[in-house]
Amino acid sequence: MVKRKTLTSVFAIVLFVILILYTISLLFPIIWTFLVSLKSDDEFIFSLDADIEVFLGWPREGWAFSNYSAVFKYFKIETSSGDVYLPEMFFNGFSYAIVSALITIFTNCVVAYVVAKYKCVLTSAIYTIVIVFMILPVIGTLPAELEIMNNLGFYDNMIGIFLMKIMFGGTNFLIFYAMFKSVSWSYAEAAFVDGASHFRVFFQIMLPMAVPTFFALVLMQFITLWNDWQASLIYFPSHPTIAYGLYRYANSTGNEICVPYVMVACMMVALPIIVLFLAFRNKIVGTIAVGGLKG
Amino acid sequence: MKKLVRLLVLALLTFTITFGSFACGGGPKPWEGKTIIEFGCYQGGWGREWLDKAIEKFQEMYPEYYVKVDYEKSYEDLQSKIVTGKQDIFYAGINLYDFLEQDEFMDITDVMTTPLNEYLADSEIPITETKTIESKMTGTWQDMKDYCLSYDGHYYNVPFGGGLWTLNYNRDLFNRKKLFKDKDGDWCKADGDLTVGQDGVAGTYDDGLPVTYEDFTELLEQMSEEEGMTPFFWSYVDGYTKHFAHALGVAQDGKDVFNIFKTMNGSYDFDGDGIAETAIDNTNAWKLRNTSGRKFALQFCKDVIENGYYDSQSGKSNQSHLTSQKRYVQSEYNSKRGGNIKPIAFFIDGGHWHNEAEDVIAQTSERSGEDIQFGVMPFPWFEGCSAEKTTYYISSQNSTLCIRKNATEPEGCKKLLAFLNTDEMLVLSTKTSGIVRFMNYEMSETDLAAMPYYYQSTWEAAHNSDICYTICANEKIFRNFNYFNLGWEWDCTAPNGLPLNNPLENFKASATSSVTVQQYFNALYSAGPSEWSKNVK
Amino acid sequence: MKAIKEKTNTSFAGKKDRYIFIACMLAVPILFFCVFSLGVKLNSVLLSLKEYVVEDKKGSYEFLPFSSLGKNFGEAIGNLFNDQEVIWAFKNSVIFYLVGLLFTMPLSIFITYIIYKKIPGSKLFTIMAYLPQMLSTIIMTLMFKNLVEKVLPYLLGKPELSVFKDYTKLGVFIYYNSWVNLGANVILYLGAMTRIPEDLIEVGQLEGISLWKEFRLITLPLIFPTITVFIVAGVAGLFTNQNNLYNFYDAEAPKDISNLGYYMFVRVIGNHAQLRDYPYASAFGVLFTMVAAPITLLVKYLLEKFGPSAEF
Repeated sequence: MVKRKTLTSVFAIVLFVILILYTISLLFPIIWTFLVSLKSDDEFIFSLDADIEVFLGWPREGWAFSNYSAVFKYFKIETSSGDVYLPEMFFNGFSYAIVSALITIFTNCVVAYVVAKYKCVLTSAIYTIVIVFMILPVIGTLPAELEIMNNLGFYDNMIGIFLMKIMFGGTNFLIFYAMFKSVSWSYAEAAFVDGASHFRVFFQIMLPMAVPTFFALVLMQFITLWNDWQASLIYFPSHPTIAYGLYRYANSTGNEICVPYVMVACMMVALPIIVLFLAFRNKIVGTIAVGGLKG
Repeated sequence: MKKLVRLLVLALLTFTITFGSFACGGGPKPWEGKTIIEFGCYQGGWGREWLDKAIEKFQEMYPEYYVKVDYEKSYEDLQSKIVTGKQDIFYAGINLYDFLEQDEFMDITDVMTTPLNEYLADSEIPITETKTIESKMTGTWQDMKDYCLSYDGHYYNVPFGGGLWTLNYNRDLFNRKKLFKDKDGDWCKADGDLTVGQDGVAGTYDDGLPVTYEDFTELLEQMSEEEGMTPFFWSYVDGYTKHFAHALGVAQDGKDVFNIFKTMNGSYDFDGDGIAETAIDNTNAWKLRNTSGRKFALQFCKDVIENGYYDSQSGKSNQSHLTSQKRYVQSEYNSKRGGNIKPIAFFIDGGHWHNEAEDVIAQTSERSGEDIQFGVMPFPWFEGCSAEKTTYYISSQNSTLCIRKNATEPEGCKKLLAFLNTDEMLVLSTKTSGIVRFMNYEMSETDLAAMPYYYQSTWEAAHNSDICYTICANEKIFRNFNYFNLGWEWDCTAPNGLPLNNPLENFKASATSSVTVQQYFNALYSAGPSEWSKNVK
Repeated sequence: MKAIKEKTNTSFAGKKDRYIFIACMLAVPILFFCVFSLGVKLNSVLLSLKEYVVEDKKGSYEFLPFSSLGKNFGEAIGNLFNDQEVIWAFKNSVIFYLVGLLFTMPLSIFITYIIYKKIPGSKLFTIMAYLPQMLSTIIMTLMFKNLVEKVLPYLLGKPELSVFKDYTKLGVFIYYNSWVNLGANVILYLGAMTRIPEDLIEVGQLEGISLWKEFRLITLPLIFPTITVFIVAGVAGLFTNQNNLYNFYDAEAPKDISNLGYYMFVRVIGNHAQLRDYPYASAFGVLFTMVAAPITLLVKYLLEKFGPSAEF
């Protein structure tokens, strides 16, 4: 027994060290990226050959704050409707993420509510299908999806993209489902006695109760979509989001691109999320903890 | 706390909306009252200066038109615009047949076959050139022309132009270190008359430069041992190193062997004994991956790696094509500043690199106080190579000018297209960007003298040598152009099962560095049939 | 908690109203679900039986003639055994999966446990674990790529090493994926652990069991459903995960580092994508679905039957 206890603590110390190293390994690149974003291109290229301290260290030839204004001029990509600059990409990214998040989460909320509170053949079927689709993998449907989108004119069309977000299933559905299941129906019964309609019960009694969950899930969805650079690559290249713009810019063959600018662009993409994370830290931590509920 | 959060969200929203509307805002429109021609242009290595200048001139000649250019940095995106975009006239790299089969392009035979002064007779500033565009596509460019006409005998595109694959060298460094050979056979003194180079003519761009591989190895030794230089450097972009090695092989085999491949008709002596010739047709042309020139190319690459004749940053992912250009141009300057780098002599990149690096070259010249110049040199010949003349390979051969079939301004587009192919504009594009247009035209002495040395030497190289390019009227080739342009060159499997596709990188990577030249060569042969059946449709 | 049965509501509002409500709320979501979830899956099967035909200067997908209906499947199966590229892709997918299962997962469970046990700085560590999830993968990629390309050759004493082309590339990718996924796993398991009722732990502590025993007897069984989900989802991931290859290489990843998800993806998106490859890619998907679905069910069944269960 005693022996085991010491083993545990040695093991725990090793884990603790790994954890500290992991934390450093996460923080270090971010700090380094920030420093590079303040180096001049010349200095960066020079540092590739210089000693490792120079490469990893502070800017030595002055802080190139002008990089941050330069990205507004150079961080752009070309699309079929002309050059798109940082502000527009920012707008695209923001509107895509917020509208999509609201639509998806609202759809899940509505469907989960009906499924949780109105038992009938249809709702049972929906519940079963959602669970089955969560367990059973269907692989490689991207070409089929793109073909359907093309046929419907949804490809590269923001309205189509948003419509496609009317989709339910997955963790978001289950979270709402569990939440509505646990809400007492007596509130609704009381309302029905007063002659309230089903719609009224939903919008005026049940939905307000779901607001905290709703908000948390929208927030998470927003972050996911803001960061998802491949969505724009796959579905709407003409309306580049800022994350996709960053990918394109970093791989661009244009003349006004260099590593420090790319790093500034990274900072630009990360900034809103860092602000959101710091502002809603507790909410986010709570939501992901609940997200583990699935299964 | 809640208030703070609300404020933050509000600030974020305001920021977004302000910028969103800012992005959509506009000022006075220069095209008001004019007919707009929408131009979709690939903005790659050749940049946009040549087109900006040309358009300025065109708008003087035809004030009723305004040409709006959409510069696109991805060939793929531009290709999709040909189908879906609003542009009417394009400069892009395309597989012409794919679009012709979809009926996307306008028949421009009249533009090609009418004398330019007649076609552009209504211009404000008269054009005096009496040639037709078609008449300028002969000799070296005949294959391009045949390719254009191969669909149904009509023209749908004008082949644009490209860059030669050469050895790009730092001429300024060569000058200062005297890395030329004089008639006494001395390197690095070069006080007397220089040797005449591969073309055998004195007073040309290759004077004093290596002719044979023997000369070249001597030069490399001299550079790395005596002069403290690094001979080679290349970027992360695999395409360049692949083309480089291929061009090296083409330069050895010469035009005749290349033509056997292009026509897939003829015979080649693989043993080099002058007796056993193999007949080549379109089922076994893969065998031409094993010419003696290509074996030499492999040897060349192997030697570069084994002798450590390359910069330590070569091929790394942080050497994007632009970063690597800067690194090359600044190598000497940075070595003087105490960087852990030696001056680099040769840079492996397409002919467009100089145009891309123009600003860096000017800036570095200014800082270092040296007049930094670059030049091109022929690939050295190995002993027994079959090339009879200096030979260069061109890779960007499917770049083209074309017009959408139902263009909204067909007349304007055609006039612009004709104008872009007048001698004046051909000269302009060479002068501003160093592009060798796929047409016969002359450069005046003054024009030549006004260009950077790199463009001068490129021009000379292009006009005193054999030029090889893959595109031609052979359907097997242009139907599978993507494969022949890159995959055909080096794709095979090493004896240890790893993929080979790029001699320089493969010899450098530890897992495949033990592959010998002979093994690579054999692998090319044994992978030939399956590669062919998989890729050549 | 138990939900209250909601049979009673019919007595307050008419059945008709109830159905109108259900119909109004569900009509649109179900329509879109039918098109973009069910429809897409069905179309994937159909597409795998078609070919791309250009007729009258317009391309479209048409069914293969009945005699060669399985052409795409034949090609996919053939390549699975003969095409070196697919074989590599398969091998690498398995490697990525096994590393995730045998290394990243246990490590993250142990790490989570010590965070959960409130070691010094556990608040900071929790926030840190969120970091890779909060930043876009493209940012993580760019930071990592630029840093590693210089630092790793320095550490190995081989300045000329191209990290993403040379022998290091697979190892670096395995590291990168573990590095990024570790945080995600920690968050997931932390969620599961914090939901363990306090009184269970207290009972254990009163009995004076060691931490290790507590982990083995209480924590592990109670978070096992989460682990099950992770492993079960991983089976599909084996066939779909691109493991960030596209972030690093675009469509140009060296063939010997490709994996199945990437192999299918670059046939549909990017420089090498071609409309005529869609049916082939679909056939691959259908094929893998037929393999992955039974495996998934089997794994789920086995884990639920033989996995640990709480002894308290």
